[in-house]
Amino acid sequence: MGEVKLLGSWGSPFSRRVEMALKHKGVEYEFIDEDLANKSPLLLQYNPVHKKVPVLLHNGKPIAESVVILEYIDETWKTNPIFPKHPYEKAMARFWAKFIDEKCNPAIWQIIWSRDKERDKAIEEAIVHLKTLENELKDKKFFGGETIGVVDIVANLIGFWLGVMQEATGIELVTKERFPILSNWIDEYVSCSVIKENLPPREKLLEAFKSRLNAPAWKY
Amino acid sequence: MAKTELKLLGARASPYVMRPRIALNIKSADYEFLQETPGSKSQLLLESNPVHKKIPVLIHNGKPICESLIIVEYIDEVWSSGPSILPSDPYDRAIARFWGAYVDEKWFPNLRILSTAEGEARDQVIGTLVEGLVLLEDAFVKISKGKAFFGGDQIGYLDIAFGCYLGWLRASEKMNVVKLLDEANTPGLVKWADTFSAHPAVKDVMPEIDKLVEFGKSLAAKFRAAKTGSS
Repeated sequence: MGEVKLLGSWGSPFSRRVEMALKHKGVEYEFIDEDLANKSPLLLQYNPVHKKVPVLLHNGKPIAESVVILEYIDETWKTNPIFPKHPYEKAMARFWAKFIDEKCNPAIWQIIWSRDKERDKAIEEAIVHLKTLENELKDKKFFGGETIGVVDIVANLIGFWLGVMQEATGIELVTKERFPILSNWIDEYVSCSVIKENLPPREKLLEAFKSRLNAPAWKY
Repeated sequence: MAKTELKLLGARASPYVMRPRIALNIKSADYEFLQETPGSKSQLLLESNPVHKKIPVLIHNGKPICESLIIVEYIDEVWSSGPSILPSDPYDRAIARFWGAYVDEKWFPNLRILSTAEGEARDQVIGTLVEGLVLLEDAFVKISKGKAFFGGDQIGYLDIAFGCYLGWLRASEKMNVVKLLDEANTPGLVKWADTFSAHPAVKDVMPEIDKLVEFGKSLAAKFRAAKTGSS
């Protein structure tokens, strides 16, 4: 159904979201790995506003912003839908995807990059947001129900990157005691084939975090 | 005919509340507008939006939907027989959503900052805002293809997403004695702003600029007082 290319980065959770969706739907694509410290002319041309990955190119037309891309993918390739069909459930899925991106993830990043009092504050905030998210999961296997949906895809940082960040920093944010339901979800998530085949290599990611934690101030 | 239960929790001054109101007007949907008192949150609001405790909240047959652009998409999907708000082509929809996210995440926060910025910081924010408007002008030219709105002949998603900020944009221009939208840099948007504000689905829900200026001044004063009051 046309030529699909993805400008992404091996370690970026945003980039991996798009790959998960494409793989989940069996869409063939060419992956172009960007060096984020040295952005290609292609990236700057196709995402002049933000200059960020991921950028999906479908028949040469660029789409940027991971959740916008996920919506586009779901509307274009109908196999294995990732958004619910019913408008109310769809609205809920969009709500929780936004909540993860606006509340959970920034709090998690803040923990990693801050120190001392600021870090303690960030940990408190992250706990509140993750508890809210965990509450939404209730007794479902995935946010999407029996199979993964868009919220599970968007929650990939929590599902995988967080574990690596915890190991790199020694901080224990999500534990089985504090977050029993979320921990269960994480286990299901990383065992799920379409997810586990689309995660960055753990050791490489761990090394990347460790070296950045020791380096001077860095912008994601 | 049984009236569908449709309520909107909001406030006139909020640009976010304008969004679902315009959408509901486009669809000619009747709803009950429940005005929240500034400075306090009703029990209904706290119950319907426990996560954010913010307006707008649409309550449709007892079920709440939160986050203004998510509400707009919901309205478009449920009232599918009315005029469409999102474009029909997936690529055009992606472009509309991209710019909707841009105005919310990148552009508007600077307008907020402008209200309390001073000196060099103020000049910088103005510069950033104008740069953003030039980007939006470019997007407008490309997307509208010579028509009156981002949505073409009719108001669409991006008109609603960006247009809701016009009240505060104009109020900011007045408060700061500066032109953000002007004929030299953003001629398309200047025209669009007038056409949009005069549109029947918009004009009754656009807040009065002078009231916003008043409100803006009192917010800025509170902010400054809090700033100097803290040790």
